[in-house]
Amino acid sequence: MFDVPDDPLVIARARKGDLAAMEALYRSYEEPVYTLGRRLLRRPEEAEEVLQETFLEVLKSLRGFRGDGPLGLWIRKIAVNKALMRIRARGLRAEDAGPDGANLSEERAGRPAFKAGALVERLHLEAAFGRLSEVARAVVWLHDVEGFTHDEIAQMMKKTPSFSKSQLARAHARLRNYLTGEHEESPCIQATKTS
Amino acid sequence: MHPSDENLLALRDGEASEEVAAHVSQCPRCASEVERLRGMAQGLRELPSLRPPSDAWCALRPALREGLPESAGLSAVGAVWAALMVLMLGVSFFVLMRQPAIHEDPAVARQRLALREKLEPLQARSRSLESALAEYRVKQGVQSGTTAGTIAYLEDGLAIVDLQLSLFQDDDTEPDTLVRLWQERVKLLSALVEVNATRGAMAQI
Repeated sequence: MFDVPDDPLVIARARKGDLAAMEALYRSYEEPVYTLGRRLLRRPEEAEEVLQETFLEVLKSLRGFRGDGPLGLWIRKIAVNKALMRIRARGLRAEDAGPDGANLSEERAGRPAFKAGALVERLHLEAAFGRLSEVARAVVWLHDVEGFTHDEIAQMMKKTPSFSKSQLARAHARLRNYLTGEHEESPCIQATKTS
Repeated sequence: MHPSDENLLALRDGEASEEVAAHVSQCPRCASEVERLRGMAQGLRELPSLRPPSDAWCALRPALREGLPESAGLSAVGAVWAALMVLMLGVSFFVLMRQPAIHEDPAVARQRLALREKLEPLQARSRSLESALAEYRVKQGVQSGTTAGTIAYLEDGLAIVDLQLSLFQDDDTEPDTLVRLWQERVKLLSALVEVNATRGAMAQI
């Protein structure tokens, strides 16, 4: 999503404070930044704040952008940091809880298995992802979607790579749980227990 | 013993040990789980992107103006120079406009004068009608649907005429069009004043 081709002319004009060029940059990246904020944070208002904070920093410090990598990756890094700062401020609580603290096992009862059509699958996946804790969502999104390594995630979250790996595994177990109603253990471990 | 979720994820990401890879290659359930994990990542990547509210940029712009780099605005010296340039240009323009066109064709000059004589009364009439209209707008009260529709229709027409006038304003190569547009403007303004006057009279009854 952040792989928008750079326009050196627009970047140069934005560096000089040209508002039209700044808006052009904003329009190119508003969706990826906002989407990232929405996926990592629970409240849409917070995603809007991340969008604002990110572009304030990007456009005010554009002169510091050395251009040794794509602008999109630089913007993404700033946006991720802004979102993670909010999660860190809440204490990096890793335990999973539904958005409203609802009992998940009760909610899951009667839920159809994750095997309907593509659109329904997408909606289920989106809903299941939304039920993960912010930390778990951040790790899954940053690793599986944005392609950050565990080392990079650990650095950004000020944790160890093992923390990132275990969070990813637990989050995927939770997702499987939400989508199929199975237990959180891997299917192989279940198979071992039942055999 | 089957590999843990963490190991299966590592395999999915191409970071697993040979031992895990060997197990998964012979275990259909683990292989299917790795596939599921791949599908999950793919599914997340394919979730639609989300659009921020349309007014988000408007909210950001004032904050950006405050913090623009110095080079974006004019420095004090630059501002003085720019002001001087504008002043000089203005003075030159004023002087040139007051001087008669030395090399102007007498026929063209006559045409220009004739056009001005036609336009000036229309423009004066237009101004006085606008003043009258402004007074009615200040006193504006409740209006019926029909009246509101008529006013909206006339104002739309006025906007179109104004747009056309703005395109022809500095072009006296089509004097007839200019005169026709100003006449049209006066006609629309008169109608608007009339509608407002009737509405005012009806309100008093």
